[in-house]
Amino acid sequence: MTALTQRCRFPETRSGQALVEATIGLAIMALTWVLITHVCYMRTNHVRTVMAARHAAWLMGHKADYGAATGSFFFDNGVSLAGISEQTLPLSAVGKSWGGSGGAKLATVSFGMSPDDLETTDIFPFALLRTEIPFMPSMVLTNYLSVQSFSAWPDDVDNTWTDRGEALVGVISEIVKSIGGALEWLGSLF
Amino acid sequence: MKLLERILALRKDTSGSALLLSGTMMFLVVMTVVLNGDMNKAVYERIVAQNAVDSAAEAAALWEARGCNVIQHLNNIHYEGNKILFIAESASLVSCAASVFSVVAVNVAKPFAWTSAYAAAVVATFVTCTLCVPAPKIDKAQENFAKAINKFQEIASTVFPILAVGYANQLAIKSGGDNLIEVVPQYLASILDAGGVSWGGAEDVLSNLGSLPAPLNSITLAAFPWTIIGDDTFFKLGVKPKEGEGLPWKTPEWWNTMANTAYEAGKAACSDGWEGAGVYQAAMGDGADPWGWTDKYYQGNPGYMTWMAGKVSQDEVAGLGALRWLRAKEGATFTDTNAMYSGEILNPDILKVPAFIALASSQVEGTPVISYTESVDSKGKIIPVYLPFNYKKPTRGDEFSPLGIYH
Repeated sequence: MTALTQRCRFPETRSGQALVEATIGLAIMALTWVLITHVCYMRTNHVRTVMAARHAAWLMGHKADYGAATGSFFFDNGVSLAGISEQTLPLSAVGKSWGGSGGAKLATVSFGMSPDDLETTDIFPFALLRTEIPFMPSMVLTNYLSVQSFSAWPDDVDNTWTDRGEALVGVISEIVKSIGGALEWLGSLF
Repeated sequence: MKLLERILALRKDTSGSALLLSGTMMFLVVMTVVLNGDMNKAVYERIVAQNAVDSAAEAAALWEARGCNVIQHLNNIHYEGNKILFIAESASLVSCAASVFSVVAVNVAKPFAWTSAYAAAVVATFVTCTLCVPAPKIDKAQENFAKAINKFQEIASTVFPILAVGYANQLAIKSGGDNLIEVVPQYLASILDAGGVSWGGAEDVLSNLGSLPAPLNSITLAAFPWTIIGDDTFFKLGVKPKEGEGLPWKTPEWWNTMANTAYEAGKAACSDGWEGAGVYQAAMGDGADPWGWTDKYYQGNPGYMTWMAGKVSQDEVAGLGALRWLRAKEGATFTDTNAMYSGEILNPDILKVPAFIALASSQVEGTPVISYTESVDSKGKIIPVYLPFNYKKPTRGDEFSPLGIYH
């Protein structure tokens, strides 16, 4: 009976200690590595978005095709994750504008994906976020799956009123916009 | 006894040390990544500042170019108008001179009043005298026309630089630029801080902003021109009025004399000495005083502008910048006998991503504003940054300057 009991007891050795530590340590390391990889990747691409936005806004201001603007700033596997949106801002020299005509082009470049897309993606490093590491919490950083930046450029920057008719229309339009904007601004103070 | 033995055994127990080491490693890796994130954020803010100032410089150049083109259009209209008015006035004055001969013809043919020659002379006199009447009015109209054009040009040369400043500021705001009233003190403070000088100017300026009266405290100044816009005044385009030479800017002296002589002769002939003189006595007033004109047109082109925009200081990424050991140079109390830090954990002088200031220069290229041109083609252009200490002002065609800084 005593011998049986002794056989059933766990031996007083440390075999398995390293295995347990490695299991936990590697899990922590894997979690950290995935999160760091993702964060660094997104931060780098955040900088790329602001550069791409500047380039896209410049193209928009010159009425040029800005569709391929992101191609110069993101790696091949990232181009598909980048999107550009164009917005024409009514603007006058005093800020707001009457009449809604354009004064600036605002380019917004976003990079990343939505949580829904994350479930099916196989793009690195987003796919890593779906990995379930033993003992570790979920790695899906729902508030850091996409980044975006914006930049503005003067609208219609090539139109410097070289034509007499353009100049006349432009001057009248500017007078109306500026007076309206100034009145709107003054109105907002009271 | 057993407990004591177990405690003493811990000194030789190495189990768990791998986990401890890996945890420590992870902490260091995470800290490295956080600092990397700070650097990343600094780079990001610097790019935003540059984007803001670039768009500001481009907007300013655009509006200066538009101002130049508007003034050039007005020069052209002035030139073309003067040409038309000169031809019309000259034709009128020729009629005045011709009316003298036609009145003589009327008087010569008067004894033969029933003849067609007399009738022709009367008709010719009527036509020439009628055409003579508006000569001084045309001269006066030209004077008013020139005054109006010059007034518009004067207004344009003042208003367009203001528009340039306004649009530059708005574009800088839309591109993410911050209020320079906040940025500049922070920037100066960080420079002084790097040199070991502590300056509370940033806080003083910022706290005083709250006491500015409305609406001044609601104005955001995101872009500011370092350099003057015009040649010698701040809110003036770099164009100046210049006295014209030659037709149609200036009528020759001989033409002015001839104009006076022709009109006075025509007036004397038409309003006296023939049957229809009564009609013209009231119509023909005094002549122009003086006859002819010497007009001014605008000439020149704007100088370069250097713009400034910036971003305010930002909190460090993970909020760890307040930890004193990340910035231990102030208040650290390490000693040989007391290796452990015993002061406050948090540092009031928080480690931050610094404020950034970016510069960009622009100018107007194309045909400068001249007396008359068919190619109205001024365009805005971003150029290398010319800092104020570069006393060699760039001239047309300069692409590089020894002290110019490309961004």
